Amino acid sequence: MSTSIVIDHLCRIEGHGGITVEIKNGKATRVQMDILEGTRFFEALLKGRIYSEVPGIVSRICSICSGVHTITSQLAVEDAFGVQVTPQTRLLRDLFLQGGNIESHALHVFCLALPDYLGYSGAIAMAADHPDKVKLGLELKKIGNTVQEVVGGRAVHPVNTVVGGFGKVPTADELRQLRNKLVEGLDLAQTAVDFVASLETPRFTESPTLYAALRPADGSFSLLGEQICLSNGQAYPIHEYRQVCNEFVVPHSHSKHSMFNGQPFMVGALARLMINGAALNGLAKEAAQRLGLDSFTENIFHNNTAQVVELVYSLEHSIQLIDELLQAGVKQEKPVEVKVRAARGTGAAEAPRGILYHSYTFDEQGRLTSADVIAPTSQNAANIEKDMRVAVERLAGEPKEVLAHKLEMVARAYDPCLSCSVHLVDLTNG
Amino acid sequence: MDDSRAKVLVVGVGNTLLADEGVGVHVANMLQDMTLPAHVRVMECGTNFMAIAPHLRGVRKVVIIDAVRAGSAPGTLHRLSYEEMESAAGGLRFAHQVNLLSSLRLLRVAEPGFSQAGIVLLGVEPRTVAPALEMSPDVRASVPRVVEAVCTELSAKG
Repeated sequence: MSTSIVIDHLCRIEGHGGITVEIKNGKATRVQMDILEGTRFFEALLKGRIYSEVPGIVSRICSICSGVHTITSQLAVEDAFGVQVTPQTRLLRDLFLQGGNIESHALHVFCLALPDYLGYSGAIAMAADHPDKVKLGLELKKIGNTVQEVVGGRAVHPVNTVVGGFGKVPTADELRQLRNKLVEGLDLAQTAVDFVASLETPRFTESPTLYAALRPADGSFSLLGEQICLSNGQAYPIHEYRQVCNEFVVPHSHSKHSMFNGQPFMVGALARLMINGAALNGLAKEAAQRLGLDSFTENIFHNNTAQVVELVYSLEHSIQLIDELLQAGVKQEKPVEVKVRAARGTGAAEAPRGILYHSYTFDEQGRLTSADVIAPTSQNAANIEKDMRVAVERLAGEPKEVLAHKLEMVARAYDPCLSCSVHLVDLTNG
Repeated sequence: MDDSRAKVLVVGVGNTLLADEGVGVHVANMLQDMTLPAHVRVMECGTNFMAIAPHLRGVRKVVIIDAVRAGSAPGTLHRLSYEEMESAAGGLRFAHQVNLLSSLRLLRVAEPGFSQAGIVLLGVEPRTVAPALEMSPDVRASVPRVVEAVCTELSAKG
């Protein structure tokens, strides 16, 4: 007996995508995550641009992820020209990325994923019965927005952060006000942990999973790092990102897929916890223990709970960063001067959805000649299909509409950003 | 940070890498260079409309500028109230991936007081949304009219 499931439009994700599944005698003969956002190659807009213009242009690839695109782009430019930024810049960039993490996770957990757990079609329907949950999510999200506004100058598409540092540095007073909001947010996040701990996590996709996440030299839990670590124990410097992301084109998707040595892998909050979770401390460590994420799991639904742990981490760490900045004394320092040269540079950062890579080549005038951007959802696409295949084979006896809903839940658990996944720059002929 | 004096919020929406899809952002940038009444706040949010959430406290009116396909000539300006957006939801297509209407519904549910705020969409019909930093001549020519329409909204009651 054969059957097929076609979902033309996946709800509650960023961008336009669907799912196609064919089942024959209980076996999945076809499982596809169809990424249908129109392909958008921006090479014509970037080629020949001077290095300082590049981060501002690539930040527009996706407004949801504009902050981390900007920082990763600046890291790639600085790597190419050998720019060493100041300790204050490193702290401010870290704080800025934490703001994006808070904003993104709060929206995903409470407005996109939670309706699946509570049995609603979406956040608006859920709000009728659980207004406190939606409000909690949006309050946390606003705090993330505010972090990005104070540090980046705007909630979306930052203007303060530039190659070599910051054009405008937040004042000590602004940071103190922000700290007060973060402290309030940390209380809210604790409420979120209590609530999420009461939810049952589905287990129907549990299967062997390879994770990848960045790790800094000091071994701390971080959204920045110099090494790409895999859960099989292997590690690569970020310059060798192509060793991890072996990209290939699939006919059903406008996004490329990635495999590591022929094996799909997962990036994102869960991957970060599985690889670096032992380095968590304070309230985030307690949250990980409370939510059962202090030991290894291969269940993608734990990505939703991992995002809650990271909400606590990002709020707590942001407070620590502000304390460090205030203690050192906030300096209105100028960005480090850039000396251009013909060179290639690579930057990587942990976006809310996983590792983001930007790699550029510049000529001797500092004009871009080639660019390569790999977004987390492209890296996750093959793993999403792996998990959906497991679900199909375990749940083959379920009514078709139940199975379809569960497959949507699998895709949503990855928090995919399809806009980023196709808005890729791939200009390798420079 | 919250600015409770900003009682009217003007929001430019769009992606400036996609030609006419960025018209809302371009108009917002022009408005930010103009002298406007103190109770007016202008911002652009790219395609992340939910980023306006921290700025809704005390807002009595939101004017949104966006690219909207309605099958008219490129550069045509459409004006829709929130109720008209809801009733046209099936036939109205925003030119980019963000679902503006869903975001508005969610913010109206979650933000105290915002459900009472007036919402006006000034939508500009795009000619092209292919990758380009420049708008098409038709849409570029419409920008002064859009700015004028925003100023009319600012001086209108309600």
